Amino acid sequence: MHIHRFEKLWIGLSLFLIAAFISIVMYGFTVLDLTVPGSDRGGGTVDAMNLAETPFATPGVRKTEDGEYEVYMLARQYFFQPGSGQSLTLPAETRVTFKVTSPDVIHGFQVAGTNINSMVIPGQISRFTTVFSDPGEYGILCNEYCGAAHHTMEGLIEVVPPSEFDESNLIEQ
Amino acid sequence: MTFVDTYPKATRIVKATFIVAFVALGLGGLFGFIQALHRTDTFRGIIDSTQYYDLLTGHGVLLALVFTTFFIAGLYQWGISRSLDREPEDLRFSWGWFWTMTVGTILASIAILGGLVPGDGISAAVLFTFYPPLQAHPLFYIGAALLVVGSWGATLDWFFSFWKWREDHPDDHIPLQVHMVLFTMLMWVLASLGIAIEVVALLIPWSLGLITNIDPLLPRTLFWYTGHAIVYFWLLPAYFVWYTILPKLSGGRLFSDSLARIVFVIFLLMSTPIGFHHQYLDPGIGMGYKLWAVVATLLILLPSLMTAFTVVASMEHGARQRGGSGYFAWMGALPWGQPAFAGCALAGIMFAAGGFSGMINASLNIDTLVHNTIWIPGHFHLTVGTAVALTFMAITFWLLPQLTGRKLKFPKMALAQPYSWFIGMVLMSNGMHRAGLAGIPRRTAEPGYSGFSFEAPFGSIMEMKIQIALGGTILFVSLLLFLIVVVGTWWAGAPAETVDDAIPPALSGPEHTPKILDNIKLWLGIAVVLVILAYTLPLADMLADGIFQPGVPPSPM
Amino acid sequence: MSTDPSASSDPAASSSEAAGGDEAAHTRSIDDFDPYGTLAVTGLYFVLLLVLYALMYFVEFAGRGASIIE
Ligand code: HEM
Ligand SMILES: [Cu+2]
Ligand SMILES: [Cu+2]
Repeated sequence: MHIHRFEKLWIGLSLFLIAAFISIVMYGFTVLDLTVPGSDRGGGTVDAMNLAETPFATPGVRKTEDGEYEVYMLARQYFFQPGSGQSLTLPAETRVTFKVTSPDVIHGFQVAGTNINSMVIPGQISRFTTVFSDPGEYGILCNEYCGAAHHTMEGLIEVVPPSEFDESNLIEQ
Repeated sequence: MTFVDTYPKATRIVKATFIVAFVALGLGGLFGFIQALHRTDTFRGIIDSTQYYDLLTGHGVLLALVFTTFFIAGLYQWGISRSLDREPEDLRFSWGWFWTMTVGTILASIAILGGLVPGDGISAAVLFTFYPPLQAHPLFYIGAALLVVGSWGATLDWFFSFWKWREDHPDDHIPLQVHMVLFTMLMWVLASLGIAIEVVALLIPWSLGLITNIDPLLPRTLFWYTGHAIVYFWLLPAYFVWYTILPKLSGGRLFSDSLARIVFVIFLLMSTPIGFHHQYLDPGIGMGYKLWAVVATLLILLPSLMTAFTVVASMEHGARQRGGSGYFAWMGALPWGQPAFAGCALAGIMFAAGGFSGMINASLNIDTLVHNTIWIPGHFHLTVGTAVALTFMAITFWLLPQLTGRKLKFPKMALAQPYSWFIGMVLMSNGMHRAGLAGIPRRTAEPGYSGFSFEAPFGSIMEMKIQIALGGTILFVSLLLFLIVVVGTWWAGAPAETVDDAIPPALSGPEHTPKILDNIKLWLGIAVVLVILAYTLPLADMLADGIFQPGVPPSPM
Repeated sequence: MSTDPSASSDPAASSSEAAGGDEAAHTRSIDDFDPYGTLAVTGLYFVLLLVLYALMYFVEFAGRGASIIE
């Protein structure tokens, strides 16, 4: 075979580029803690037709035994529960773990202007943890087509300073 | 003497596939234009927002599935006949696959367009990814299945020709174009098994009511098993043009035959086992599979980067033959005044930009920034929407005289076409990419919300919307130019005395190419093994709790 | 063989500059042709890719407020 020396050089550069990208992604994944949802993130599966027997029957914010906050949320045609209608209040500078699922079709969960973005699939629980560093209002939107009124599916998160966070609205375990 | 005189039977097949392709292109492009106006709130008087999703389904299906598949079928039939010097072996078989694909297209189109007619009970607003439990009319799935099965028929047809040719040429290298056709189609057959199983085994019985509940993750995974590789099924025919025809259009010769073959072999091996990169943000898929997808997806950059070098070098060769010189100035010596060349070259430039956003998309965690935002359509309008579609349109200008024996009509319009497409796409795609970074979602009729608004990292949201609407309008005008030239040439082109259809040999020709690159069985075998390795465990995981579990009932659309 | 990128690497090229057709394709083998221009173009692309990628990853992405950390 006959490969021109310039082309050999270019193949070398290409392999370097690929290695550099893989390294950057792995660096972000391990060192910067920038990750994605997935089945080994403790979400698990749920019977989407029988949510009544699960914590999703009373969606909302809870406090776990270790003192962390958890949000059980339903994304459904065409609202977020909690989040739509009345905003979801969360403390800033605090670890919050979302557990999101859907009782009907596939939806998306995206917090506008952030890197919080996950598919929501009936039968699967999307579990992911985040920290909102700044207080303020954050828009939630559904970014996966879910039916004729998909474009109306939105919600709001209100992030307040930790001292102002009112624990009396938490859902009892 | 040109193609139509030498291979009249093959010509009729090529023409038939092109007619379907261009009808789909025209209709799909019209829908795209309406979408661009509607979602930017430039003009919402044509459809209401619920019908947006019927149009969007039509746009995705007609352009990404129908236009591409039919054009590829025609282009490859042309390549097979001219390279092997054969008419199709059995015309009944050839027309059989053509009509299978065409009937499938008509059925699916009825299902989709039925959604625009109130009260007919037929609709299929499920988009071209048709994720269950969104459910379309059964005709939609039956049509999709026929389209895929028809494309398998075309594959077999081209293998028949190849095997016949082999009997008379036992020791020859496979002609380069034929090598490319066969490797693309083997990749496609292997890759389309996912969608075929999804549609035939799950969705058709489900849409007919034979099954009620369905596990949404399983069909979604089967879809993306095919769904990544399908982009290479669109792209490789554009590479076929760039490798085998573009050097000639530039006035030069292909740089290296062996590298072209290596590239196609790598695509056969690597296209399918990486579909999980479309499911980076799915719950229910393990991190191990996602990390594997990152590495494998970034590795498949290699054949595309190699292509960039070979294709640019072939163009440079042409430019230097034409008197070009310097490190960059040689580009000025290329035949920018010829529509076929200009279209392919501009498509290539756009692909360089689309390649960049693709590298971003491949990078796992950064997907949380861009996933399902309009950045994604920004990306694939550069790749399939320009690198592929503009190449196909440009090469049509070169093929039409060979297929009709007529000169290209309206050469000025033909020349304006690739440039206007380029300008329109620069605007639309720039607007889309940046709007995506601001968080604006794709697939959304009215991406403006009552409770909050988007903030642009730089520029303004308004200016992005204008770019999308204006770019979409220019693209639609460009598309009309294309259709006018095609119809004009076909019906009223002046007879051509001579047609320049010769393709010169490569600088480093097949005599330098190792025989192993032609070993179809070997590479297909490895490709199958890689697919089994990549998909057995995740599918087994999904099936462990039962095929239809965890299930939900359908949601008719 | 010329190493001066500004000169055509093919001695026959000057005679067939204007032809543009098949006769123009005179270079006989891959070694008679050093694609300096291609090396320049792809080299530029290489640099651009690295820089833009780093900007996207570390500024646009990693620099955003809230992310999925677990
Ligand atoms: C006249 C030229 C075109 C215009 C104005 C146009 C416009 C658009 C717009 C505005 C969208 C985004 C819709 C949304 O997400 O809400 C879109 C989506 C899309 N376009 Fe185009 N487009 C054009 C040509 C093409 C071509 C040539 C192809 C492929 C060959 C293509 C393939 C797609 C696909 C696959 C989608 C995604 C559909 C989905 O999300 O389900 N488009 N187009
Ligand atoms: Cu939605
Ligand atoms: Cu992909």
